[in-house]
Amino acid sequence: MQTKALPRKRRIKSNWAWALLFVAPSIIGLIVLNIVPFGESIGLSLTDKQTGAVGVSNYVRLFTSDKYFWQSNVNTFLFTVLTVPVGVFLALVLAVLLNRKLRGRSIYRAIFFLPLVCAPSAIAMVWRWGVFNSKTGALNQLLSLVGIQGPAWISDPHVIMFTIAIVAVWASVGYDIVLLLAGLQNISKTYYEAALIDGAGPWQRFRYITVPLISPTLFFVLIMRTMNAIRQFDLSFMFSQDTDLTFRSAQTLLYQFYRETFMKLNANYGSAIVVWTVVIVLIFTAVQFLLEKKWVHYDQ
Amino acid sequence: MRKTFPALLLVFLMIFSTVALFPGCAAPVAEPAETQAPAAAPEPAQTTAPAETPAAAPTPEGLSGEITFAFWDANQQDGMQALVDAFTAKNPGVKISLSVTPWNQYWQVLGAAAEGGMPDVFWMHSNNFVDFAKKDLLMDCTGLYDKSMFPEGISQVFQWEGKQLGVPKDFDTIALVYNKDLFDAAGVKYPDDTWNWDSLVDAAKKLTKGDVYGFGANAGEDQSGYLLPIYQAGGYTVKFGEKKSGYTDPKSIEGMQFWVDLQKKYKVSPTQEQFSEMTQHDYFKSGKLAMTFLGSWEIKGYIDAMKTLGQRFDVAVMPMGPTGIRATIYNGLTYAGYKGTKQPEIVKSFLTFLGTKEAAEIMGKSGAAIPAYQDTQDSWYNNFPEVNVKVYADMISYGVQYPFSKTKAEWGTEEKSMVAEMYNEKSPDVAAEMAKIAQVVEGYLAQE
Repeated sequence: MQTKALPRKRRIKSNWAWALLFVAPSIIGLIVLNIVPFGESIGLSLTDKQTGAVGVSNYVRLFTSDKYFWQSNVNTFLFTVLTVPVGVFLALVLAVLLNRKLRGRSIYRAIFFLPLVCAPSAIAMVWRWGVFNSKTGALNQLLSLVGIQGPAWISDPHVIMFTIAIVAVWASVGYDIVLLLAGLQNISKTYYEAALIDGAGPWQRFRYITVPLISPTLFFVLIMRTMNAIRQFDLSFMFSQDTDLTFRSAQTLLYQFYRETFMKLNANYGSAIVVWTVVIVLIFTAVQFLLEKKWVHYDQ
Repeated sequence: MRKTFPALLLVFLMIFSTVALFPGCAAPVAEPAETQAPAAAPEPAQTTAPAETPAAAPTPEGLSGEITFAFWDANQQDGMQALVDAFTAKNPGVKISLSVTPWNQYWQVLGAAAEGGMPDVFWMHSNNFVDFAKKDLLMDCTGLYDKSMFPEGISQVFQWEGKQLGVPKDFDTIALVYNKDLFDAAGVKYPDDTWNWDSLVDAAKKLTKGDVYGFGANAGEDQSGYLLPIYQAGGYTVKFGEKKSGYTDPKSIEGMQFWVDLQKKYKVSPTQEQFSEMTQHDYFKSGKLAMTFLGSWEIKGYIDAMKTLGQRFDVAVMPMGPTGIRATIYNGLTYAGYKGTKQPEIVKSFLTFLGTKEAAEIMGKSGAAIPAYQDTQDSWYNNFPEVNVKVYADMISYGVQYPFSKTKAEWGTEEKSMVAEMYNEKSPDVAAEMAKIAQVVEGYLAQE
């Protein structure tokens, strides 16, 4: 490399050239596969399918006369509230437990991570037939051993969201554990040693050392989990069809998008739902960033 | 400045692609409507998308090149392969690759492919025909096959502006299937052509005991479900070309009421809650259901399943309605060609072959589906000697075309969901619910 011989300006330009070259594949992919299609979606949503006219007719219909839309919002919100706090807290507790020198620690980690490498449809089939089936499923059979009559996990509209939430937490906790574990490993042991000398108990150590020091990772995990929860589709799709009685209670925003776009073949209307979903995600994320300053500690 | 420029570029790109979709996209062929998956949406499971056709120049004598052939029923793959083999035996220069996409994703994949990567030959269904015809995606097949050799009704369905936009493939009807062993155990006489709704309910009541049900009346089935009693009562749902629907006709309501009553009043059917865990097919195939309505395309699967179960079953004609009306729903698929194919000669030649008697018999022999070509149906029957499948074709004289229109995809989906929703009530007000359905469906019909 002749960088030493080049004058400073040309060196900077040549560095930039290399930087752009390496980043180009990602940027091109991002633009072609994400930015442009999303722009097109916005355009689609502003076009009426039947008349081709440009306007907000799809949005008007969505907010005023769609009989499923408000329920989809409620279902998505309910799902988010059920899975994010529980999922993240569970992942944090498990990560802390797995951070100690346990025997077979790697095996436990692998087991928790396993759901992430399974196909969602395979997961759904096993849970639907093997676990949640109200007569032959493992869960209700276990409960009946203790004398409890288990609910109809799959066919009761009041229960279906909980069922889906259980599977969702199970499926995603491994990913969060891995992230949180990495964050935990970065916490210097000296903090804990100092705390032990001062006589701090495990809960106090957790609250005053672990949580603040892992807050950046926790923040990231919370944002990812919230975004994924708002975008939930595959589990509700697998657990409830649009002719099941649970459908009204199980349909999430993106399930409604799927139904409108791929079953009713109206992509214009479906795009309006997607744009709305993006707005919701933006709002939730913005709120989380606003709260960031209050509780996230960045180590200097 | 260095930071704002890339940001501005991205915003510009997004606005540009938004605007690029406006009025210019009213043009018939260039409609990218159903195609782009928006950035925020996770992909539903996509199976093999049809491959791009390489541009090979067809030679004047002896066709040569490659085309793709797409369809949705894996049960019929052997049949389709047999057709391809027969054609390529006569045209050794041609290679045809099959592409199977399950029904649930078929229309998405096809819709997305309309932008690029459309298969050359593919199955077409009445539900989506008008949509594809209006988008000018289908090749004109007028004259490629002998119309007189096929039932009139089927050619009519795939006619558009005077042109035939497909080659008829098969037809299917709906019949009554029953488990002979369960009937014998309960001492009930097998269904025959004297049966009407009352006979059905009587038999079903005697057959419903323990964890066995007499008749599977799933609210989520239209073609093999609630449409049957509606038409058997003398009612109708949608007639092609009409803006008014028939849901509020008292006879239609009577028909729908019968279907609902099977679950709610006579209690001879699993409940809609139970159907979300096990479908009527699952019940029947595990020997827990004595009767249900079944489309002819399911027969092969049922025969295999019942053989494994070790129980006998058979097929009977539809029961008559309360006023003696006989009705079944029929539908026919066609082979369609992509209008913009890079290999029009090969596609035309293949489609012509598919419309011949030879092709019909090959398909029938494979057990795939009932060929529509005159007098070839025996090739299909002979596959299933143990079961009286002739019944399916015998009923075609009183078959009603499965309702369709340009916006069928939209109102058909809503119709099914709204019917199922009725079942939330212990005693649904069928007339009121049908009125709601009429309103929604007519809203879509009005847009056509």
